[in-house]
Amino acid sequence: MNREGMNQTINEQLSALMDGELEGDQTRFLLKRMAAESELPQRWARYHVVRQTLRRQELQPMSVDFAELVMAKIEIEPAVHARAQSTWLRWGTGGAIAASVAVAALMLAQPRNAEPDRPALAARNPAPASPQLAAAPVATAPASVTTAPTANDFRPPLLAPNMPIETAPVSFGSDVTQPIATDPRTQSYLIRHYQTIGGVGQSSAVPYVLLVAPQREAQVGQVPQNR
Amino acid sequence: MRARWRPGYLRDVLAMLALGLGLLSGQARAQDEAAVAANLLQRMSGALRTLDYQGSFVYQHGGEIDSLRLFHEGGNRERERLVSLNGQRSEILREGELIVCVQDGRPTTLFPSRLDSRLLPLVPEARNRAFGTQYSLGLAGEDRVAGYRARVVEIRPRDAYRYGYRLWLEEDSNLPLRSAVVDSAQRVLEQFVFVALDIHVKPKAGDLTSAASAGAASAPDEVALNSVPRWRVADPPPGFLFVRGQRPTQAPTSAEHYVYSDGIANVSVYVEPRDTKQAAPPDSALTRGLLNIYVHVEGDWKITVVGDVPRATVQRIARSVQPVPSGSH
Repeated sequence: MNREGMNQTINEQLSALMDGELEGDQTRFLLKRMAAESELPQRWARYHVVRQTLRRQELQPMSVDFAELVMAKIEIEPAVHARAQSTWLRWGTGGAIAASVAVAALMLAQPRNAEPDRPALAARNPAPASPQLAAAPVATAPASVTTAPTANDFRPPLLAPNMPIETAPVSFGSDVTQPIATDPRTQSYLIRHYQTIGGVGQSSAVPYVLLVAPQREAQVGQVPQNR
Repeated sequence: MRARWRPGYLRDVLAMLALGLGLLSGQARAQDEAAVAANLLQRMSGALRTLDYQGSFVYQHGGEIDSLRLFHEGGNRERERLVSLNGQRSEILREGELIVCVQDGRPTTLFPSRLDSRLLPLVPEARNRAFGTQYSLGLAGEDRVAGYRARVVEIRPRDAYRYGYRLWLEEDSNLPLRSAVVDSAQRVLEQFVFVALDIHVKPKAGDLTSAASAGAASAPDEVALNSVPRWRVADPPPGFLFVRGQRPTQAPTSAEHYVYSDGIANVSVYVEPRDTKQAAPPDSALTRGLLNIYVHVEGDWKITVVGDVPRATVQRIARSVQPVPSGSH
């Protein structure tokens, strides 16, 4: 197999691995390769990034063992280290209140969601910020940032993961088209697209924010019940 | 003379005059508005790069809502950090041209970024060239966001081939406090809203920890095309012009990648040989929030069009890709 074909095979294997669909033997082979070639973990990371972008956070959970292996390899390389918990808490606490207020405000502002279950959601959550909602939906004064809620408040209390927050469904129209599978090639198109338009100086709309936005799985069942 | 001077003549003339003046002043007002809006957008662009600020915002995209915190230090070498406040811990650090993405507390990857990248989403870069023929600029009153007074600027698309933006700009600094991307039916597709923002406050050193500079940055996968493109988009939607051509460093040498832009929206066109052992598949399409992808097969070639533009745009572009006559090579 030539280099190109080999590359394509590895791309496909990486993709299958992300989906948890790679055979045991092939997985072991790929991981070995990954430990030997420094470029592969990068490619893996890039695919993840783009897949996250492409799927808008609908990520498949990946195998724990694999993540540790790959990350162990990546951590050998000099890069940034996780900050201490205290730093996260220091600035995070303030933002959480304000953010939860705005989340609620956004949800209240969505006419589609003016369903009976929303009041129930709000009532279930006596978070510190809730009473302000009716009076001042969006305008949170920076002063409110000084109150310190518990660490649980990192998750916006009013955010129900499965609640349909319909903005603008885009239909495919009437003509017959096949949905595109999220294969590595599609991901590669996206990477190159966003990298290129950043460089053209036309627009900087590279959606880095989607790398930071969390995966949905982490949310399920973790809406805190504050005392 | 008397016959011509009938009652109401003067009234008609006056009415016509008034109507004419009204139209003229309406037009002038629209032009004034557009000029003010253009000026505000330009200031916004500068403010985003040069000012120090930090704040929390909510980002609504697809069916999701996330809350994030942003730190920004302006100056010659901008430093920026974006952190998720809900769900898994993850963050992005940008120091000049280097972007480090840290997910769940572990460093994941480094990206070589472009100088004008920024971490705040949904902010159009409208300073580059005239986009007035495809978009109209206007003011949409005042509002209050994150405790600040804001002027609302609208970038309205003139047709359904592109999205519009509504930007809430802080009155003094012109920083965007809120931004919404809307489709031609004025439906909001994505938006962010700052809920708390400190302007002119330099983030603490610990909030902008510098990224390791010796990290393994990934090399660009493409190089500039130094020959005449083999393909062209014969019938792009109005205003979309060729911006640059690239080709992948690996992959088939005949593959090419072109970028078309209308000044705000960007579209990538990938043309590459397809697997001819298989029958030509029908066109395929994908929509995710703002993003649209359209795949079209033309003979032995596969054309993939990608962009944060409406479906109709990628479809029209994909279907009108044609080979450039060989004489012009």
